[in-house]
Amino acid sequence: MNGAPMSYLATDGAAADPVTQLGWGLLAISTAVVVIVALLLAWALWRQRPALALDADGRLPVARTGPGLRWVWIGVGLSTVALFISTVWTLQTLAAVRAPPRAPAFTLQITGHDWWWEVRYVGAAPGQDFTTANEIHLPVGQPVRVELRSADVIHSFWAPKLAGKTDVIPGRTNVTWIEADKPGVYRGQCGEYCGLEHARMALQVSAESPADFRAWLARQLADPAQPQAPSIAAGAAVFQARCGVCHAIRGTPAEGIYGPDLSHFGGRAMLASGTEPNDAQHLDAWLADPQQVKPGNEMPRVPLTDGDRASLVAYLQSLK
Amino acid sequence: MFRTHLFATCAVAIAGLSLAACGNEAQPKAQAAVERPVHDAGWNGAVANLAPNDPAGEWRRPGRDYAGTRYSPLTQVNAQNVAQLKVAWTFADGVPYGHEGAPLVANNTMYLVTPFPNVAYALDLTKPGAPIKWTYSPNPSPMAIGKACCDAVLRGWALADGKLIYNTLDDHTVAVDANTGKELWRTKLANVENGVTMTMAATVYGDKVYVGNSGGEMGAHGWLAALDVNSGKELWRAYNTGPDDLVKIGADFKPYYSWMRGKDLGASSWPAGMWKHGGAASWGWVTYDPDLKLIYYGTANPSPRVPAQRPGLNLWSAAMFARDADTGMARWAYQFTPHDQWDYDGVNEDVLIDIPWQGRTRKVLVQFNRNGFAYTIDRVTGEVLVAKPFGNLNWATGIDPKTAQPIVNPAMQPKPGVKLPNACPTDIGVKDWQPAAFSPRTGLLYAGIFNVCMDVTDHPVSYIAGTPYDGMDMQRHAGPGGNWGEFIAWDPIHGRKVWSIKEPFLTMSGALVTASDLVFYGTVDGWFRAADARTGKVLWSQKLGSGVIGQPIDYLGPDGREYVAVYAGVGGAAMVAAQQPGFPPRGDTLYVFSVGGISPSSGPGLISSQPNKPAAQPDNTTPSRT
Amino acid sequence: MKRLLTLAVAALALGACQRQLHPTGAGGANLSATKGLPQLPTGDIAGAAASTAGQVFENPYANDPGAQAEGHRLFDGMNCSGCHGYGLKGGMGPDLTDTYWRYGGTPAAIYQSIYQGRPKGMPAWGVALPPSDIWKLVAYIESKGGALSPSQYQAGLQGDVVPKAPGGGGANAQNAGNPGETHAPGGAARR
Repeated sequence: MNGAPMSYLATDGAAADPVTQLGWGLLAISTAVVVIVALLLAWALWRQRPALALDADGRLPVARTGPGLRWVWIGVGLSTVALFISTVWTLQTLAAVRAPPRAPAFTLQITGHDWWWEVRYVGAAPGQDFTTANEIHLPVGQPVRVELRSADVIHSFWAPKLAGKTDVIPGRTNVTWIEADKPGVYRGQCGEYCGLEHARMALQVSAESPADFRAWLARQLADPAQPQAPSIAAGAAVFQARCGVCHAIRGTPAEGIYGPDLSHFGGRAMLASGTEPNDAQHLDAWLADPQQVKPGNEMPRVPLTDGDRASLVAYLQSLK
Repeated sequence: MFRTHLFATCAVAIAGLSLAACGNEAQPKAQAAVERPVHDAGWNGAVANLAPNDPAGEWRRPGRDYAGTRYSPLTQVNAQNVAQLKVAWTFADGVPYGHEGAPLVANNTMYLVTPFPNVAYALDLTKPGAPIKWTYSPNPSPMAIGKACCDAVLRGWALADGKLIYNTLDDHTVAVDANTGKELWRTKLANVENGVTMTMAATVYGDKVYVGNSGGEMGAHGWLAALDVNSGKELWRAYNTGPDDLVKIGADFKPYYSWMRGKDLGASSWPAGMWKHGGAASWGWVTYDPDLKLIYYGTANPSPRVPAQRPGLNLWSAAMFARDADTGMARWAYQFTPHDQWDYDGVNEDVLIDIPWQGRTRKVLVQFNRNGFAYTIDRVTGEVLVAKPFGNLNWATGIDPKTAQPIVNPAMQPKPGVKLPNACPTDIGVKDWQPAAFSPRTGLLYAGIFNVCMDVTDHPVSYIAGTPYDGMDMQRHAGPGGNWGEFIAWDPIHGRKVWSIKEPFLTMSGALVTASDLVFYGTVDGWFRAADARTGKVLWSQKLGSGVIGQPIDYLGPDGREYVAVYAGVGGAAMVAAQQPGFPPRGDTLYVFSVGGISPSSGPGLISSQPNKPAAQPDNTTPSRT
Repeated sequence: MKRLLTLAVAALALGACQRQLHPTGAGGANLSATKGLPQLPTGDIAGAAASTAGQVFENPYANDPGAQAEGHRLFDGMNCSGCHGYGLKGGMGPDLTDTYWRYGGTPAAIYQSIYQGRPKGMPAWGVALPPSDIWKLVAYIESKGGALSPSQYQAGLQGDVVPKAPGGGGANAQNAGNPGETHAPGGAARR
């Protein structure tokens, strides 16, 4: 799976599996057709016909008798059966992916921004609604309803191993669903060109056991602990002063919605919407100049001293 | 001999009565002791407890009594002579912000506090010209001006325990000696840098000062606090959103309707953590039932003003509480506008009256809510008895009688980024903070109301401390009929308008009703009017120097004459209509009227007050507690 | 005089630094990590020396429609519209489309007001926003027509800037932020 994270030839979700099977099946049928036709063509090319006697005027006879028509009927008959099977199978696949087989476990409200994903978990009660960014966690084997909105231009929500593309269109709410069959990390990508950094608008879907998922949910809803170590406390202060107008960390006074929600940022695997791994070194490079990492993205270069930047990195990494 | 004695007595009595009938231009009589009000024909049976029954000629709190009736027992000015009211004297304070307060009069002294910078003046009514006895300057932070959503106003002040007590815009409550102006204590309630201000009238019942914050448009966390009247020390603070321990909800809390029962609803009815900046400020009026020992007050809109960002009922915003006046623990609550989407604060005054209801007397309260429904609510249990529209609204089609929840019109719910045209009423509601008056003679309430609608577009917003947490982009316009204002008389038992006076401009002044069946109100274009409380016939009008958004009062001067006083200084939320042609400039003047304008402050010859003697200066030099 | 010359030279030098712009204005531009401009006087210079400092600084994003659009997003995103109105006509804070500026209306003066904050409640954004963002906000405000151009700096100080409409900014001049300071009747709506 890790070798080809975006490969949709082998999928792991109930929203995608029927399509994948249909795809392979149609490929098999098509291949069979091609092989059969090729063989027939080859045979036709190489077949030696017996020589024909010329008639009184020295011309070839016009009428020819042979089993050709029979082949036409055989071909039509086989094709009809194959196409009929394909049609039925396609319609069944369409029905299977149109709506989840069981009631969805919960709803995700995903808003596409240039060039990041805002993900809002709709809880059983409003008190359990929360927002995160770029990283989705799901319980294995449970379908999840996904509402897609856009904050600016057309994007497309695409996690190839879990579902096909669904466009994200400004002024509209599109609804789809996903489900993961087995635990793992699945990569997604924006599937509709949306500007300068379209290529770096990835997302990560992390499927885990229902118990692990509930634990993750509880961690997301909990406020972060008060920073104890001085460098982390210093980083928290830098964040409040320099970052809080655009970013939010739940449980702190920073509640900006302009940029991605950074609550529990330390627990995320990637940063900058799947562009780079989320470790201290890459985070430091990002904070030093986001425009070098993802040129043209919406985060400006904020002038930070080296000490401020280091404490900010420590603080953000501590938000598990 | 007895017959002669009787004859003499009768003669004296007859002579006395004749003299009494001589007319009011003569020396006015001293007011008789407080009489039980007689009721007018057509009285609907509603009465009120007028405790503490202050002396008839005084006005010691904005609502006049604990129930907030704003009913004056004075009868000198009546339907026959009100058209002769003229200006007796005026007092200008030089402050250009909206003048919303009610002057207070006690011990022949008038107490005034200006809008920011909240300077207090004590005027000596015993001397001609009502000269300044002392002034006190709390020196609030100018930063507060830029954090006040709706002008740098102050809606009133309190007299208690020999002190003048009031809030400053920058979140302090101060108490000064009513005789000398010396600062006695000063308590800091919040940090103005966070966008929290205080504009409500500090209110004293018993030994406690009740104060609340403003800032629902700035993402404040709303609260009501009680301070000790002697020391200013904060005794308790009840927040209006959050878990039950912060909201002071305990075992005694029994809301009447089941959808308000549950644990920590003030937190769970918001997305995670949003209750901390949930607004629900307490910037309105607090009334008190001395028998039940409960205080009643309302909470403001939820924050931000973009409902899509905060799904859930958003308790306890746009609601009201009944709390134990001593401990602050909530007894019951009722949310007028669950999940408010239009800025319909619940802070308007709860007037406490007793009504006949289905054969027995019920203790109720009446609130004209911003959302356009006038509620009559049992003030013991929180049961809604009457909820009827009192003005133009289209956001809801009614109130469900079983749950007392509004039946929201789905077409009137704003969506982010999409303009919702003609939502009625606009954010300032069918009635805003301007307090109504209740007359026990008619059993009716009198209030200035609005007829204003909005085109609104919501924009999602970040919370950034010290900046607005708002998002409502509005254009306001008059509703059907074209009039922005209206003054009405309302029957709280049957839930219907009895009479109304349409006004082209907003009617954002308080109301005053007297025992002589006069009701006084002012308009935002500067007219001050008296009408017959029974019929709504306007008996007198006077144009003043600026729009009237203050609260009129009446009082008896030391000369025994009745005076009516009101500020003319437009501002406050009335500025939403500032584009209206004819909207007046700002003003800063208190007008005091008497019949014929007669007073010791005007007349022939050289009148002056204490020449060569400067006004007393207060002692601000001794440090006081914070 | 020498001090003014130094100021002017420094200004020109810094102005030169701020020339590397992102072509579309989108995203953060590579402005040098300045901590803001050298101090601009907001009043006249004592001794009646002619002040030229306000004329020297131009907005590096002047007339850049991409920067104006970014500034519009920032104006709403940073809650400026909450105080100054979605149409910039004022409310809790002053109207930004009239030509009345208590602290100066040239782009550099507006930059300083945003960066430093002002006493009656204008927050100081210099810590929270990088210089590029503040210049974009200035570009947006300029695009609404109420700012002064640098060449109008002295006319603005001396009261010679002709108001945009009768009464100084149309019917909106008297608002909660400036009561008594501007002379038109009426006032701005509560936002």
